[in-house]
Amino acid sequence: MNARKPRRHRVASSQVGLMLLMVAGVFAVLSPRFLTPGNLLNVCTSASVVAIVGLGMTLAIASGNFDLSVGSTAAFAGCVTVSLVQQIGVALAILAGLATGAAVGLINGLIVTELGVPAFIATLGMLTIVRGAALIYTGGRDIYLYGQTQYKILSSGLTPVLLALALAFVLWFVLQHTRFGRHILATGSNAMSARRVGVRTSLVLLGVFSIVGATAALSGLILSAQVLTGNGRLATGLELSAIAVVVLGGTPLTGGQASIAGTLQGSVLVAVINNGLNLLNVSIFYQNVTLGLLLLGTIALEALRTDRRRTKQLTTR
Amino acid sequence: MDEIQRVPILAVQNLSRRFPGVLALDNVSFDILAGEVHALVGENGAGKSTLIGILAGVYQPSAGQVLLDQKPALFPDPLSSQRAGISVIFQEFSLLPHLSVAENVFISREPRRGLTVDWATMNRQTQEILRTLNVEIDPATLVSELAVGQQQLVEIARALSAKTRIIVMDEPTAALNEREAVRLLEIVRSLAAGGVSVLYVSHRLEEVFSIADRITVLRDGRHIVTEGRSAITEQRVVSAMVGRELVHSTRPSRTAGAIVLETKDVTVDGGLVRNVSFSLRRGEVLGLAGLMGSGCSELMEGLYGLREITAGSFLIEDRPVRIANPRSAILTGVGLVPEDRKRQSVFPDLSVAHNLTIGNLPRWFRAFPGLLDLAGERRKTLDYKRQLNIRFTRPEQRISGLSGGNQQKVILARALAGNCRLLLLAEPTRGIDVGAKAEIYALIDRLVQKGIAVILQTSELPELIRLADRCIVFVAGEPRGELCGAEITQEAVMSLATGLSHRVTVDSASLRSIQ
Amino acid sequence: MRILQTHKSRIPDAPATGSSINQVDWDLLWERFGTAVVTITIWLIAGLSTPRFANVDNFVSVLRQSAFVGVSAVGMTFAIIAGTFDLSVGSTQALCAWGAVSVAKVAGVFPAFVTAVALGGVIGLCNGSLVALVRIPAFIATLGTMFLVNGLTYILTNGQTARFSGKPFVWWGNAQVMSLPVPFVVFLGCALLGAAILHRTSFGRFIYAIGCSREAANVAGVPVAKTTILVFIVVGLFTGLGAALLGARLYSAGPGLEPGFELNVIATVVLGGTRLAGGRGSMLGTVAAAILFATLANVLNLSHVDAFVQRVVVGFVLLLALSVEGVRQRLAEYWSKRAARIPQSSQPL
Repeated sequence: MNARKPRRHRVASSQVGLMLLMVAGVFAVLSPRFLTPGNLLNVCTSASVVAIVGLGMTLAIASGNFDLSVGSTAAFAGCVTVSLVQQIGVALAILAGLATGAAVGLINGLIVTELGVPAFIATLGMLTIVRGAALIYTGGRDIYLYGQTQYKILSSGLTPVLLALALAFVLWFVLQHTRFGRHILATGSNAMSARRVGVRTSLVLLGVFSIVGATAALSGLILSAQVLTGNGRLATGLELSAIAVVVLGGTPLTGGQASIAGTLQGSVLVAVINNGLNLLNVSIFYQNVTLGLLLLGTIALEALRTDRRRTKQLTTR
Repeated sequence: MDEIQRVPILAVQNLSRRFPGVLALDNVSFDILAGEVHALVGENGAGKSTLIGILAGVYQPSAGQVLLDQKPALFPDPLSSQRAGISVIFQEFSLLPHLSVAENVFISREPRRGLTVDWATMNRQTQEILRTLNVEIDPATLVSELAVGQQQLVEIARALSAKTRIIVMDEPTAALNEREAVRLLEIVRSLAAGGVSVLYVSHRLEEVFSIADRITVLRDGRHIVTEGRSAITEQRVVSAMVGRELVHSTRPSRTAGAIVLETKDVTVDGGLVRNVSFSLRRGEVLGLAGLMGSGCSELMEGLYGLREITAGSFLIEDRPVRIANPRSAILTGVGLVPEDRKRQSVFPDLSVAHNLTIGNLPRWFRAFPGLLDLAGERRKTLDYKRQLNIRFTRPEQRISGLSGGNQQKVILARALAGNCRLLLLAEPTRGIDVGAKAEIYALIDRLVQKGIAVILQTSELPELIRLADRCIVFVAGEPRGELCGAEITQEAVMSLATGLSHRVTVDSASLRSIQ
Repeated sequence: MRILQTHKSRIPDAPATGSSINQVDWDLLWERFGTAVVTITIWLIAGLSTPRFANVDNFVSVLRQSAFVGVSAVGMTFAIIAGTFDLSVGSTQALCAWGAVSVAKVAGVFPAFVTAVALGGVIGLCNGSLVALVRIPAFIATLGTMFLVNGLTYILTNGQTARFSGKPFVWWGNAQVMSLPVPFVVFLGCALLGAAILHRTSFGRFIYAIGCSREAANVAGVPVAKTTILVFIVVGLFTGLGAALLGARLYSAGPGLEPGFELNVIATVVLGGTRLAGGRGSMLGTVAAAILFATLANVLNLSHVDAFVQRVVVGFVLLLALSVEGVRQRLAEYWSKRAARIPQSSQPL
């Protein structure tokens, strides 16, 4: 069935993979603690949190959009869930949290598709509003969950990793093999053309933004489960890390293409670097510097490469 | 024609569409029969695009209706028009470059197996359709990897896969080379023979007369005439399009002065254009002609510093110059009127004055470097308004409010404002209506008379013949031959450009340059 | 000739030629003065409804508050008109403010301001080079420098806040001249300077041209790369200046000075009527929008609205203002493009 599937453009993901291996190798040599099971689990857990929202963001970027409100959404959904656990039980509370995230995403989508506000601006406004909503909801205080160990399941052991992998598989499948997925790529490829050939781009974008909201919520839930606390200030700046791992993974910002595997690798790469620097007792302050350098380096390489490719095309035409 | 074919498959009745300030379509009625190639012709702004938009479901009519099989039909969105069996192939295509050929053919109608897209069926069916068109393209290829001509075939395949009964083609040969264009015309004929109706929108009459069963002419949004091909002459179609008999103005006799530009063995971008040697005198117009991809545009861009001149020498008034970028071109006295007005020359949000002076602002330097002399700028703008007869109210007015012809005159003024000695004109009248065209020709004549040297690159042979004193014909990046004065005829240029010695019956459409 | 005339007026390229000649261009007026009108209206309403709003001290406080975002927004106006933007201003602000406070402690006021402005300029140079020379999209390039500068600030400061309350330094943040707060005076000066550069110099003209169409600007002989780099430097310079003022106001500065600052600055500029896609915008709008935001926060404060609710309200105002602009623009584009021909695809940002 896959025999004649369209060839994907090899985005830069192989490059990320290589970088990941090298970095991991270096840390393994430098720090004996790096390769211990406990530490690897740590790395995977923190990678998973960013990966989950990054996977949603991959879809958004593939559709030619952004979502800057994911950090706020994560916080809001976390607070909602934590506050509801006591009353309606863990399972329902988790569902409620995910629904909250999806709802926020839907609103984002409506602002973009119906009011014609560029996604950048729309989600920027929502970033402020939803963060405020989360703080109002909690009254600016922490909501503690004493003894609700059931909720802890969400963040303990391999759960986050499994969730991230499952989500990655589902989204990959959706993107490659379902009509909705192909239409996401079509919309990102050229929204006007897609509309003209009968793709309902508005519906596609509503779907995409809802998914992004839900994935942001899931990340928020895991974060809140880690500390068993609901806090309106949770996940500040998550939006930028999410975009960073997507870009590192090789999904181009121009839309129409997506690399799910790349996003996963990007998240792990960032997590490995942060963790390795930690183990080597490098100040936590260097983490942002490395992330910045990494981001700029990857994109600069990519930019220079496409530049060369473009020139070549011109001469062979 | 037998009785069944007489039945109109699609008809528009009293169709009007109003945009703020413009009545783009004014009470238009005509019909399309089953299995007919129906040509829709008209100048720019005649309302062709609006009509296509309505059939495609992109716009709604302000008044009137569309009849499909003699029943009123509404197309509130593109999907409903497609479901009704209408496929529109837009000039700028509606392909999704990151998806495969098969996906583009079946987009929004993908065969599915349960939840998933059925790739095998989709690829197989695409292959079958492409085979009926006699093309060998792997359905799994990404569309971005195809040539323009192939991309158009994908559009046609999409129309066929949708069991389309009516295909609307908007200027389908605009981006094609000669061979592809001929191929396309064959395909259109075979589609019609297979019972599909084709609404063929074009303003290239040669093409239209070689293919259409009936011809409809629009002008200023109004329906002028619909006639069978054999019942109407080319001359009548032209006068219906233009609204009056065309007066052919001729090239004035000119006396050339001293040599302004001399090139020797110029190579652009390491071989895109090669071995170009010519000289150009004051008060002379040199034409560049060639099929699409022949290198004329690239040479123009090279002369203006938009591309690199990698070899050869380039002398202006006997002094060797190196033009590295447009800025240095302007400073050397070279001005360009670019090919694509919307993309390359006009700043729609800026005022007329700002558009006019942007190329050489530093000339308004006064005591302080960088400070602009706004009063002087205004004076200069009004000056050019008078000289070039540009119609606008105030220099502060946004340029987007001007007609195409007047915008083009502003761009011409911009090119001249930099103390221009050598003027490069790329497709100077593309997308401009007939009246403004004649005015721009007259302007060019006046400038040349004043001693400016002009290089003209155009895909319209009549324009070339009207303006150029000499003409170099390019083939595949190299000059193939030079024609002088009365030697410049459509036949001579075409036979050089196509490399054929016998008289060819190719239309001027294929004589186009690459973007 | 008459035939020509009718023909011309029917060319859909020119939907408005005939009609708009003697009409007022409301679109343009709103773009230029809309935010100012809204701000004044809000002042009037607030003055009438909130008694404590309309007194001199409060006005002074509003104006002072507007300056800290405002000065940086002056620079950002340049960037957004040029069709780009800078996400790194938040990190830059923290670093520059810290630099100013630290230098003020050891070397005095003038070196402090020079340090802040110079640091900003250097960061701007980096951003500009990444965007113009390496051709990284501004979004990613400035996101990268944002992380980079943020990390750098933590490393340099070791996570500590620098404090200094020397009179001559804090005068710049807290004093008044002619009953106007000093930061606001500086802000106004910056805005005037900015407006002068935008409208009276070739650099300014280039910025509008690039924002309108990068390709057309290049063909017209505009030095696109040089101008772009310069634009980012301008953003950095103004951000550095604003940061020094903030440091003076707070007597202190350290990493994580004002979270979300970059978004506030961009929001201010866009609220001021500058089009995010570039090519249009004015300094007056930016000034008005900065005051508008400060006023809003002030009124909400005076009305004892919860700080968190304030955040939501501000977000709503932003979204509301921006949807109005978006919808208006969409309508305008709809009409003009539809009139001309089937529109070319317009990629979302």
